[in-house]
Amino acid sequence: MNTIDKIWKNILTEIELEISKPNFNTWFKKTFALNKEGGVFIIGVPNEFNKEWLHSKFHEMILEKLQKYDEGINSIEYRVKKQNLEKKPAPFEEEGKKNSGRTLPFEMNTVNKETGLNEKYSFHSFVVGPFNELAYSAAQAIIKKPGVYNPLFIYGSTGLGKTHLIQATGNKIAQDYENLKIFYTSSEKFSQDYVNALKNNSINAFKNKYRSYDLLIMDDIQFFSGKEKLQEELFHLFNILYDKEKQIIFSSDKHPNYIIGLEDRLRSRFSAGMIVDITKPDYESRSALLKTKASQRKIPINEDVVDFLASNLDGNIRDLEGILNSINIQTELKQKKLSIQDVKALIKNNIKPKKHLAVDEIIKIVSEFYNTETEKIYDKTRKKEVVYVRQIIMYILREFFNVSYPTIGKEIGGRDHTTVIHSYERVKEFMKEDPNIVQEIDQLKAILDV
Amino acid sequence: MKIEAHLEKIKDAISRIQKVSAKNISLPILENVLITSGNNTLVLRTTNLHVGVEITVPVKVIEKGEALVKLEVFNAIINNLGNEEVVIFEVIDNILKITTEKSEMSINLFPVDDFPTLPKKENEVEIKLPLPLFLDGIRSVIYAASTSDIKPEISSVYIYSDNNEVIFVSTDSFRLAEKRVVFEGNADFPGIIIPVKNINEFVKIFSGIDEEVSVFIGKNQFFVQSENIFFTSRLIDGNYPDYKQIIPKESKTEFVLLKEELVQSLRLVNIFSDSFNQILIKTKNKDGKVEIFSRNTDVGENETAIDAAIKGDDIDVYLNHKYLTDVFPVIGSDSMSFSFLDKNKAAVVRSVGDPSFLYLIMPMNR
Repeated sequence: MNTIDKIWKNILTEIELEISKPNFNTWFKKTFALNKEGGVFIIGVPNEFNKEWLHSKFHEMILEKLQKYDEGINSIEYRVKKQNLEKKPAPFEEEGKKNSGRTLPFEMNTVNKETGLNEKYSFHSFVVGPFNELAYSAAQAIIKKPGVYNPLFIYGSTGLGKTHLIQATGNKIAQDYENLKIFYTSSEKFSQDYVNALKNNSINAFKNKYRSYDLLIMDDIQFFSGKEKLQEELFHLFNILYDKEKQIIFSSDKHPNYIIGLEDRLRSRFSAGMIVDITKPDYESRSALLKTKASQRKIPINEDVVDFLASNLDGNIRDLEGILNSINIQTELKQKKLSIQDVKALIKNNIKPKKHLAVDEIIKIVSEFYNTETEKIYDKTRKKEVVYVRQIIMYILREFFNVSYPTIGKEIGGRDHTTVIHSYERVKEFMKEDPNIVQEIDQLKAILDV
Repeated sequence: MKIEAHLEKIKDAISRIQKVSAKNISLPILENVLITSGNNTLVLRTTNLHVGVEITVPVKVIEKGEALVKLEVFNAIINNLGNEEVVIFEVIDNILKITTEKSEMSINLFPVDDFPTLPKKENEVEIKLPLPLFLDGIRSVIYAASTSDIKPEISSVYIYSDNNEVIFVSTDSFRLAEKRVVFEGNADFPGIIIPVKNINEFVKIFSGIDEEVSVFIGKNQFFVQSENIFFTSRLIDGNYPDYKQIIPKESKTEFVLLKEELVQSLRLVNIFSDSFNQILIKTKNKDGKVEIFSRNTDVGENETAIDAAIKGDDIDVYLNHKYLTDVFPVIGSDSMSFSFLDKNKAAVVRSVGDPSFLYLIMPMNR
């Protein structure tokens, strides 16, 4: 028991002797020491009635008693708070049993109304591996000292745990710093809010709302691409929060430099902080992930099955969870642990065949990535930007899809195979010299899923 | 304190607040009503520490002051003064003297200092709502709220805003009622969960009043201010279940029938239903009829057919007829529509032509 608890317990014992029992039971029994900030002693009370009454009726008495224990206390704050913080919501089935009826299949909403954070995301269930280590440590650094990397920009493709990481960070900060105003929103919610504010003529309220936060977390900001007015709003919001040294966390599926239709001024601002990526988990991380998720949800699963799944499924954490779900249902159905054969049969439909993309599909994706018209790639044009993209495409086709040089040449506007070889070598050279190109290729690899 | 008041006005005020101060063993002081006279007004305050209310009544004040009286006694006196018109209240030491044309009585007072004050408004979100619409929203859903204390979150009415609509929701996890009410002007506020007991008090206190009220929404408390009444209730600190995802988006069977015919037949069905209130509903698409069966091993059994416009596959589904009876008063039109996706999925009940109201019932297991 810490000191403030002890002090408060002692004071309660004294008060109990001084006032009538019903009075004590009604007003003091459910109070508890919450915190001490400087000279302010904070008392948790169960409701507003209680707060009001302690304040108007017992304030002097409590203060006098507190000062006997600690002379530094000069005022008291009463805060309405539930005492047992870790209250598990009772399952809906309980009532169902009595009534013999079936219940509506609710899912408990665990989104906190004030912060928008979903309480189910925490670091307890977060698996750290080489694929997300850097992002994880950046988040931890921010938890220790909000504002240290501002903004923190986390990117990575879908289903790799970006949302989990940033929400868990928000939840942890909410827990550690009670006074910080925290807000989590998706870019879509933000734009909806903005449109509503425009419609209701309450744009000032909108601005004030977002500008009042100490920690703003915005998910999936790639959706801002091409929305100029929204980007402007975000730009101003960003500047204000940044100037006030408020922590901002963004997530996106791409590096800011590759979000098409993102204004340069925003891009440069994002680069001012820390940009980290989350890549696909490797075998060890996949196996750790599977084990953690299975034990959390109490899904019986054998070691060899975990091993099989980890080596046969790649990447996406959401897919791994999906497979665990079907294993769970099958286990319940069969009333026994699944063998590796059962699992193989189960997931045969779930394993995505290795991607065989058509060459023109790849050309389209890459040229879109560089914002170049696809037709130009096939053209004879010698414009520098187009040539560069064309060379990258040739490199990718050769390196990752094993297409032969002559075929590549034929597919891309009937070029000679020596041109292709030359291009391939050129890109290799570029990559040695310019780390930016390596990063671009990595990005493309992620997009093309190779 | 000495005041002169119209009996009718005092009577009206007392009848609104009398249920608030229930018997309270741990803190008997809460069984009282605090009466305070200011300039030309008398304020009556009661609270049970869940809700608090203050009603202002215009009176003629001869001398200012305050008094704490037992509400039950005060109520009994006021109600039995018959046809008197004017009543005079006067505090002399710790006695309240009540004088009318015919009677004169004096009742004992309690020390005023021990009576709780009400929570004060701080920096709440303020919205203005017409009371009749507000009350209508609550009445449309409140019967579906859970009465058990196991899950306080759903022993409640959940109120939230969506653009210019205010949405009222209640559920006991077997059925769910949702009413959307359109309000003019800005109604943008964070969702609140109000305990069903408290909102029942709210309905009683404000019933029959037709004016616009200011609603103040705080973190733990909400406040309503009308011209003469101030009301405050504690809010439930929790999350309401994410109910929208369980509303079925499609259906395989749909039928529409006359509400009056269903009401009639359910009266009959009621006699034969078992202790689980279970009835079987069978659709007969080719006959254009819905058949209702109920059986009770002690009484016997019953079968009633109702004309219905049926679309889609025939379905057999078991329902709790009490859940249907509950919803009749809020079905405004003369016909009701039912739609089902599957006999194990929630059924959707609506009032035909009124998209603002939605009722879900979970079928029973056999």
